[in-house]
Amino acid sequence: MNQLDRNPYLRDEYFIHTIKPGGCNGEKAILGLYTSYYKAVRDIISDLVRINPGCYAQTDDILHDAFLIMIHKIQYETVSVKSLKAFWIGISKRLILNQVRRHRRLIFVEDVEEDYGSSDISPETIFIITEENKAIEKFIEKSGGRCKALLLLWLARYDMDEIAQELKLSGAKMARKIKYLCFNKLRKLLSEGHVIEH
Amino acid sequence: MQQKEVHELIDRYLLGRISSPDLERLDQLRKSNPDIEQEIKESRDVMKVLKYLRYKDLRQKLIEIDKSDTDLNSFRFRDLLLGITLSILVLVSFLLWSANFYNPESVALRYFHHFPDASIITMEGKDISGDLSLAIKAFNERKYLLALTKFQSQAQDHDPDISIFASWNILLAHLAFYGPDQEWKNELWHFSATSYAPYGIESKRLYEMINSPLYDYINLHLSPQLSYMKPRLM
Repeated sequence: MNQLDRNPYLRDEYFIHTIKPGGCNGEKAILGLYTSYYKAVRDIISDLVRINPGCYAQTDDILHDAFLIMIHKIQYETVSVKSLKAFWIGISKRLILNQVRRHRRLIFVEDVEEDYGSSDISPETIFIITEENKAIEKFIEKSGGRCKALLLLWLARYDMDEIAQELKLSGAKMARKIKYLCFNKLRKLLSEGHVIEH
Repeated sequence: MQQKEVHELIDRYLLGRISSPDLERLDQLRKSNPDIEQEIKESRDVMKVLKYLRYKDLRQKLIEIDKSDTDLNSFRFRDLLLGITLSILVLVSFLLWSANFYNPESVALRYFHHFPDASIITMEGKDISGDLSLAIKAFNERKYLLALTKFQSQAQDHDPDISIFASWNILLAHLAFYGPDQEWKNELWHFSATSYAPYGIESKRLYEMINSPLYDYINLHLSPQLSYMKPRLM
């Protein structure tokens, strides 16, 4: 019997330690983490949205936004959390309060109580994208699936061997070369401020 | 430091996997080489686009998980509903079939139609013209009262085979017309005890069936309820 399935804290520790380095196992762990808690977290978010009438966001949008922020924090920041479910709910709560504040122009007389693990949550820093970037995105989409797939795998912290295996390339060396070319092409497009028309 | 090494250092920095000593080295390079500083700045912009794409991609996967769960739930519900409907249909069909199968008239007709085969042994070469023939015809036409009268006229025949054949059919015609009352049951029991094969065996089988709990339940409880429901269903 797998002890990780029985003890939520052990399981969360496993998730954090697998998601942080990324790669193929990290991606599996991300989806595993979502599958483990999303029903319970969605119910709580649904209640939170109901008791905060100023929040016009859909429950599922908050659920997904909060999850992605959590993954970002696990992978790029140092998080000291024990319960990922509580962390996820804490982020969701902060997103809802942000929404309420924005729509009602609500000014809190004192700072809201700090939510579990959510010291600095700003989804905009993660999700915002300029018009120019949208053009780049269009370019990536149209320039063939391989460049996009490779760069996304690289961003998910797959090592070059894993990328080569995943995309059926001749080897890590080839993967590294293609990554370098694709990344540089994008960098140049952005630096030149190109808006690509296709 | 070689160009390749610098790129690897920048990659690690962009992915947040750089160690403290390497970060210090990179900081020094950025200060000393404006090209590297520029490359890092541009690369961070690329990272923003890539992160956006990655989270968009990941969000799609999450939506698919939600959807598969919803599909599974609706599939389960649909399956359950179909299962319940089929079970109800099977149950109702079984009840209707049972009510018809154990109906006294159906039982009598079944035994009557089954018997010509069995009675070949005893009735072969006998004269079955006249009242006997009329009685059989009346039974086939479901004129049970007429069949009863005609068979009764043959019950005292001097030929024991014709007499027992008529007595057996009197019991069946009575069952079809009046149903199995206590007096009829007693007569059937007496008939089964005193008759020879194949009448003895057949009548015993009929007696056992009429006295079985299933027959009792269907005829005493189920049939009246189904008869009560029939006009409403129609």
